[in-house]
Amino acid sequence: MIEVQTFSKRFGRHVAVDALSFQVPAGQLFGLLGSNGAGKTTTIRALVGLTRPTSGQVRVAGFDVWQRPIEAKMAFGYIPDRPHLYGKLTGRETLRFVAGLRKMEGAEREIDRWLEYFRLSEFGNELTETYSHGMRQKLTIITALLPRPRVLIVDEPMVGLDPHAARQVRELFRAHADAGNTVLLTTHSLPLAEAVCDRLVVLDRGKVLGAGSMDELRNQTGVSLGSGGRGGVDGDSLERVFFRLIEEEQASQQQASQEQASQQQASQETPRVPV
Amino acid sequence: MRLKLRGLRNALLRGPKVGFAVLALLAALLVWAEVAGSLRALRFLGSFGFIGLGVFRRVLETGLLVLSAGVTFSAVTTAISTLYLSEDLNFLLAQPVAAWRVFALKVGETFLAAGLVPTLLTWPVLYALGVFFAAPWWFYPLTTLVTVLLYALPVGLGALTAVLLMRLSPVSRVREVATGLGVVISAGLVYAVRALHPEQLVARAADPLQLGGVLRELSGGGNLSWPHGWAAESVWQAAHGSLHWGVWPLLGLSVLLGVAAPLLAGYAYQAGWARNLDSSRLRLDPAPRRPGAVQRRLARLGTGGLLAHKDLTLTLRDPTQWSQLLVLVALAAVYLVSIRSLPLPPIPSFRGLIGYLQLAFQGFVLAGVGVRLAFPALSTEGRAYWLLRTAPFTAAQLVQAKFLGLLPVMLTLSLTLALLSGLLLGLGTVTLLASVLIGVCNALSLTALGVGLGAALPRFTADNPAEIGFSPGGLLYIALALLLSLISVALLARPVLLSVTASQLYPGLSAFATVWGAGGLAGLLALTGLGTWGALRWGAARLDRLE
Repeated sequence: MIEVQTFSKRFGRHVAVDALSFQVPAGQLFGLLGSNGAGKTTTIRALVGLTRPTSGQVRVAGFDVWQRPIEAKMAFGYIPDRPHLYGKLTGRETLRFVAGLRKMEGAEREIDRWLEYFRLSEFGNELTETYSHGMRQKLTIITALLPRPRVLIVDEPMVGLDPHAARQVRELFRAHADAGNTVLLTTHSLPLAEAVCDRLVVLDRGKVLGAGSMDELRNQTGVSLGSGGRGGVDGDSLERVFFRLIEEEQASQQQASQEQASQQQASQETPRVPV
Repeated sequence: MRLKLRGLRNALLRGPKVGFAVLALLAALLVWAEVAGSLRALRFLGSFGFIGLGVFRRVLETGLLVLSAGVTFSAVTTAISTLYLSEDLNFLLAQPVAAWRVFALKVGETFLAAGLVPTLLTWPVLYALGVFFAAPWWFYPLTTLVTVLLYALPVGLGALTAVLLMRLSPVSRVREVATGLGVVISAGLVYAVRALHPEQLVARAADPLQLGGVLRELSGGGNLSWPHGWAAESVWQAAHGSLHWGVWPLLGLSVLLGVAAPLLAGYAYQAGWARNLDSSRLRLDPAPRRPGAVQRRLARLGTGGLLAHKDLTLTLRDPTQWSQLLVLVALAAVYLVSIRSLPLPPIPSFRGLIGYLQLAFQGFVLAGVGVRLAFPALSTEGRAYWLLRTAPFTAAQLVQAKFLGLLPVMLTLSLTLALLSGLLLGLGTVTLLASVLIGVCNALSLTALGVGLGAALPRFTADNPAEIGFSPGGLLYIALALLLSLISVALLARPVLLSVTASQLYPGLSAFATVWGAGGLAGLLALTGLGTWGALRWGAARLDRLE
């Protein structure tokens, strides 16, 4: 349902994502993890048509997002990392507008149901500019789920949500995937990713450090239950796996730069043969 | 201040270099045109002795009045945006810096937002005046200061009014109250400009019996009851080598307001305004409000109807947007009142020609409205644009929907101006028909140009729709819109001229059957078709590439 093939994105000389490839089949919840600036949001933005790939292809539900945008956009729902909405529309009007754009039938009943689910019924007739950040985030989540999309693309979903709403959202994503749909999410919350994701990709500075299910990642990093770790991060948790991947990458970069420095030094010290 | 300057430096270094170069070129051209035009006008009027120079002095005074009234109009809403709604305010007030210093910076920002453009427009004209009169060296720093003080005065006043509004009016209504105040000031500006009765001055000058009185008025001192009079007189006297007292009240008032505004703003903020900001009253009602009849009907039109309803709702609920419509009405009213008061001799051919040539000014009015309505159409989507970008329709559909949503407004305005001015001036059939044709074509091409350029150069992060029009894209729109409307007028000029000056040879609509008439009509159709289609297509293509 989601195919990313050798996707690269450059901003000038800066490489945000370098030849990233992964696939997410139907019925799977896929997590994209990484530190700040890893390229998660750039990948998500390319998938929803907000940024154009420098090279490679991004396809949603079999449609290239940039070649056949209408079909692709009909197939996905998107939850951005910041819930910017029209402040002068009420919550209900916002949802009605989104339902209209996606040509939904029987939208009113669904809108009432979703507002009730997120305890927003009382606020449905209020302008969204009066909402708290968390309420706007909930409304944004509804805008994505309202049309029952086959693919759900989510960027940092938990920011600003109260614990109750956070649990609801976690269960919603899992249920959406279990119903045969595809969910792709980026998050900094490693416990969330560990709890709900079937497969994961760990990114760092635009490169893939590791990919697979939790077990595959554990095998890849050699992290097993009971092994010690630093900073109180023990066991075989995703947090441990994540830090191990980052540490390995840093170590290999350090080694590469040391080798480069020693090569340069050696070339400077090599006496020139007089001609 | 250093932080702000660093931000500006970064924006300049990392911004689009080509865009800045074009802007600099446009600015240089504008300065050159102002200086050359002013010098030429002074030489021409100077050849009529003190009468001609008196006319220049009155024009200068009127110009300063109009510009300072314009600054007053925007200063209140700008002051509210910069003094209390700035995103960086919480950060700045959390730093170990006195509140009055933070607000002094904000008053300075208000001046830059509301008064910088008028200041930059005024300086070249005044410097040209100094060059013409071979003014002493101190004329230049004094003139620079007087101009800043003149526009700082309404900014200080606006900042103080904003502080008062924040303390007196309900927080959720403060923008509405500010806009209402802006409308009152706007009405005052219309009244002030009309009170000068420029057409009566021309009529009196044409009357030999009243000419003496006109000359006495022109050679005497200006209006010294208001700051614009003090400024004009100070500049005029300084250009002749003497220092006028008008500079002192100007300086005193500006400093007083400039000091009082940040102090009071700091006090108002500390007295709890910030706390009130988050406590707007909600009337919670769980009963769902269903869509109204208008929404249901528009929704049947598909995506375009949905977008039109959304835009209409947002415009009517946001005072910063509907105030643009009031500006539109004010502009049209000033134009029609001025047309009605034009002292034209009862010669049909003369009236016909003047009536036709005023269409060029209608293009100017339409461009003024377009830059406030059509050009910001995409930018007003703001940060919520992601909702449209990720929705299942193309950029071309979006641009077309915006165009079709705005066209009725622009068309109504354009046709109202064309028909009413034609009827008020008693124009003939051919001229009236040409006016209507040009009105329709201008509405089509200028709306498309505004929406297209706005889509190509959007500003989704602007706080206030009013500031979108003052971007380089907005200025480009005005220039292109004026050019388009001038070409339209030129295309039908020949048949109109034939019908007016040789009405016996070209009775009825026969002037349109000539080669010039048919060619003009074909040219107008082609220009409108290409202009409308091309602008929308280009805007959609650029919007589609936007990241």
